[in-house]
Amino acid sequence: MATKNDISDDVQSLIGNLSNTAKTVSKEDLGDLAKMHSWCEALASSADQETGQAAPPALDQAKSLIGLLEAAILGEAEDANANLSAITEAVAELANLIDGGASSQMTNSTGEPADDGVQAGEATNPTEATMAPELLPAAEDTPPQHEASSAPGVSPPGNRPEADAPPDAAPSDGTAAEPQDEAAEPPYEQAPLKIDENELEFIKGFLEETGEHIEAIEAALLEVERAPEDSTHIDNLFRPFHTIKGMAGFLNLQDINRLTHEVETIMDQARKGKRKVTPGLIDLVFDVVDVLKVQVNSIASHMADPKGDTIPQPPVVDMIGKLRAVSSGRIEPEGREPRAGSLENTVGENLVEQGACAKEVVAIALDSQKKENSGKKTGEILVGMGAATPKQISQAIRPQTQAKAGTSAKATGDQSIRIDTIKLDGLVDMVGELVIAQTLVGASSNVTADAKLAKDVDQVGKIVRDVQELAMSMRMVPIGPTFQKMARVVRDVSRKAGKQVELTISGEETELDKNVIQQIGDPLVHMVRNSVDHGIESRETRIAAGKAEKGDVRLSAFHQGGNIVIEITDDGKGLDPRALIAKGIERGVVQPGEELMDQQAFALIFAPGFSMAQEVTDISGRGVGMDVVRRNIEQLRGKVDIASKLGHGSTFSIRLPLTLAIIDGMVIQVGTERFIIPTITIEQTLRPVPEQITTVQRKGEVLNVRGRLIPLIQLGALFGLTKRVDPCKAMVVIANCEDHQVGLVVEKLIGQQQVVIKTLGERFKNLKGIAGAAILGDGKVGLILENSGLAAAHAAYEAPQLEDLKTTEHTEPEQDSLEDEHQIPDADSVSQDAADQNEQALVTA
Amino acid sequence: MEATIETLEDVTSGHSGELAATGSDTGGKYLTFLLDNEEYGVEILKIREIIGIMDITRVPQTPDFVEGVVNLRGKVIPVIDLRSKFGLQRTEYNDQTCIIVVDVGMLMGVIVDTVQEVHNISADDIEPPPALGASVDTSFILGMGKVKDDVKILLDIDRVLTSGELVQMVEAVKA
Repeated sequence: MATKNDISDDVQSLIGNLSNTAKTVSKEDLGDLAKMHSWCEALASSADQETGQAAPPALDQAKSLIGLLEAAILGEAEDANANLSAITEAVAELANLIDGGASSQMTNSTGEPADDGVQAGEATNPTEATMAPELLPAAEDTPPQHEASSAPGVSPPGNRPEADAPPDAAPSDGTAAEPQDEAAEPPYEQAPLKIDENELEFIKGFLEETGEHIEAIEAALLEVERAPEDSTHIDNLFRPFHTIKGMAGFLNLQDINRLTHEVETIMDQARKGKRKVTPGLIDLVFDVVDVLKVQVNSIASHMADPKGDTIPQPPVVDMIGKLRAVSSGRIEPEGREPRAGSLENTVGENLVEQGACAKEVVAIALDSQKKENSGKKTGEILVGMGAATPKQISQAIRPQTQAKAGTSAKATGDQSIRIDTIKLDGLVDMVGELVIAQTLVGASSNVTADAKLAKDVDQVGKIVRDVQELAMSMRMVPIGPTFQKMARVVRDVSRKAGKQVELTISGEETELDKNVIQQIGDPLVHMVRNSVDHGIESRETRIAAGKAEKGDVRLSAFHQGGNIVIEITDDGKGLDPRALIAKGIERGVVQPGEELMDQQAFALIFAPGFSMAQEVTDISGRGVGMDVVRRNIEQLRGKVDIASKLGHGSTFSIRLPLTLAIIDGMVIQVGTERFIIPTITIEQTLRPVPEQITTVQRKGEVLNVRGRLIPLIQLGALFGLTKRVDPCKAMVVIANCEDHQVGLVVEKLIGQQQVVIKTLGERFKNLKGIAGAAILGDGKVGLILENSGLAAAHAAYEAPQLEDLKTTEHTEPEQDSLEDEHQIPDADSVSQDAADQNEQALVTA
Repeated sequence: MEATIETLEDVTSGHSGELAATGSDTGGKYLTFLLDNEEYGVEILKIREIIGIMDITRVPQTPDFVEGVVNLRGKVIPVIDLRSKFGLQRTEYNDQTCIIVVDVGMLMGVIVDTVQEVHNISADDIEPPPALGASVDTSFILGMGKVKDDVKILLDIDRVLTSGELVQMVEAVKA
């Protein structure tokens, strides 16, 4: 590629930027106007410094342009449109003054190879007209000075420019930069990012919106990949980038602005059919999205916890350089072989197929379309060449338009407002109180005596409950966007692993608490990744096993009994219980000879450090993960189940509560206090018979449930509320606690209840075994138990010597408070199992 | 123990109009209450409301002076027994017993024997806490307020409530 070194490169690039922007700028585009303004200033300063005596005409022109731009930005111009055209003219003039020929190298938005500049002169762009010779000698004088000043400035990516940038290379917006050896584009200089305090609110809004736009972009990208010919998807892709760019420009978030600008340039080419949508291109855009995410995160984390004046930014120089190289056509985005069939090819091919014109003619037309960058369609060119009639073209285009019509863009724009979650929580709190107050009123004897009043109170109660439901539902958001993210994961992982995987998503509309949605993302990514990487076999293996070449991963969400279930199903190789057990023995998790049910064997994959992967890939297989996944899900008070059939695939079911704000709890009583055990952790409740209890050193107690030995925790004694009670006179709640069970000895089961979880606050955060509090039906506070914390507290608790239960059994005072009649139905509601045990216990008692 | 939720808002709201007038460091309006027949005062700006004694849920692993948590209209707030905190003899709660809800960054309840009245004590009438010997922790005391012939012990309620952990380490929870 020919590079003209005789004109200072950054002057060239500034002029290039200016003329490109001037072509499209409108009076509303404040961001673009502001950019033009800063380019002009940079230009003026560099003209001032570099070109010495020859600069005045250009300098004057730049200055007058600055004046015009200022008027436009401030809205001071009397006739905005006239002002705008004056700006365009001034830019053209300025470009003429400085350079004619060199500007063809700056066509960063057109994708035109620079060495085809011969034809560029004919284009409409006024900047590509004749050279202004008077500036050339001056520019030629500058190289020594220029090199001297810019040599240290060609900094490695990520290097901060403030230390070594030459003064002319660091104008206010950081867009002007140093020359690069072979590229006509100046490399982008990353400027340190500062946030104006007055703009904090705007930036907050920007970050939030950008998050949404990024989601939209990812969704659109996948659509584009599915149907690269459909330009509506590219439009859908283009729009969010454009919005981000505009807002970033307005807020002076330079890196984001530049990055999105460059992507937009490439996308514009794709949109206009000048660029094929290749998988490589899509990968590239995905990469950009990743960089954007990192940037947004770093700004967000800076705002949450400001350290220093400037915000650490990930290096974007590389990415911008790459994008520019792609957009200027110097390199093709890497990736698989480009897919056949982009817009103009199809038109051309169709024409050839329809016999309208010869292959060669189409090739010539395509070629000239490429060179001219005129934005003309292939068809137009062919018509212009006289090679085809408009009718033929329209026939050739028809298949395309039909395809387009088939996939219409999704309707968007639900009406919504943003509400601070604190307000929502407050509302939920107050409504909860309302429910309790209403219940108290309803239970009052005055009310029950008056039939009319009772009816009215009942009516109020119904409304209050509706309001409660509504208040709760305001926290709910659909899981769809989270699933969309999984689509990206599947795509990335399957390509990395060289597998063909199809992801099917269902139940996107299922709603979950926003907090749950936020926290389920990571575990889901992990599990989906596992399914693709470990579950789905390689193509060869699949074919050998008589399966479809393409692996199938299904992601679905649905309601089931007051919970949300998310299922990840793959039709891969499935889990091999025997292999798992062998691995478990090897790792010492399983004792040799131990008989495990399939379910128990599957559960082994949740053991820390347990990996079934034969080899560690860079995607997964290091054995960290599934234990973390399970812990995360348990933190959300969820549960993971595995079903798998060797050779046929596996299903991972995540069972989650609808909301984090409410749990199903079993209310139990110990002494005078009531506690709540989350129902999801309860395996069964039972009243043990003496034969099931074994004491250890007269201190510890172990319960034998069908061969499983479960340590008993005396809640009352642990919490200092009561003395130890005889488990056979009390109830034992067997609860899951990470990968084992504990038996909680409680005096009484009161019943199941849905409770709203309240935090106990910062001062109580060190409480072990207490997850929070809840307001019970009578308005009193009950504490919510947390099993693993209980186990930890129990481990640290020094139990007193046990009195001989056999002798104290019948004199235990607490037994008076036990009312068997009440316990049986309660226990029954928990599990049939427990009821059986109860009956057995009663019979033997 | 029956829950008698009784809001004594008149005690605070009746004087709220003059609250803004408080100027100097320590001078201002103080709510006084009795604790084992000693008169204490708390700056009224810290006080959210006064409620009667109600059902309190014990919280395990907490020191003795943490009486537990109560439901304050949907919010769960910790409640401190001030007698116990100051090492005074505990007594049975009765219908005079009150929970003063104070805002010390978070809402907390303080159980006192009985609430008395609101006094306007100027800075001139407040003397620094005297040395009372090693057995009395004066760091909780803002000063001694003189009202006519009486002396009220003005508490730095933030310090009273934020000093010391509310949760004992698990190791310490031994029967």
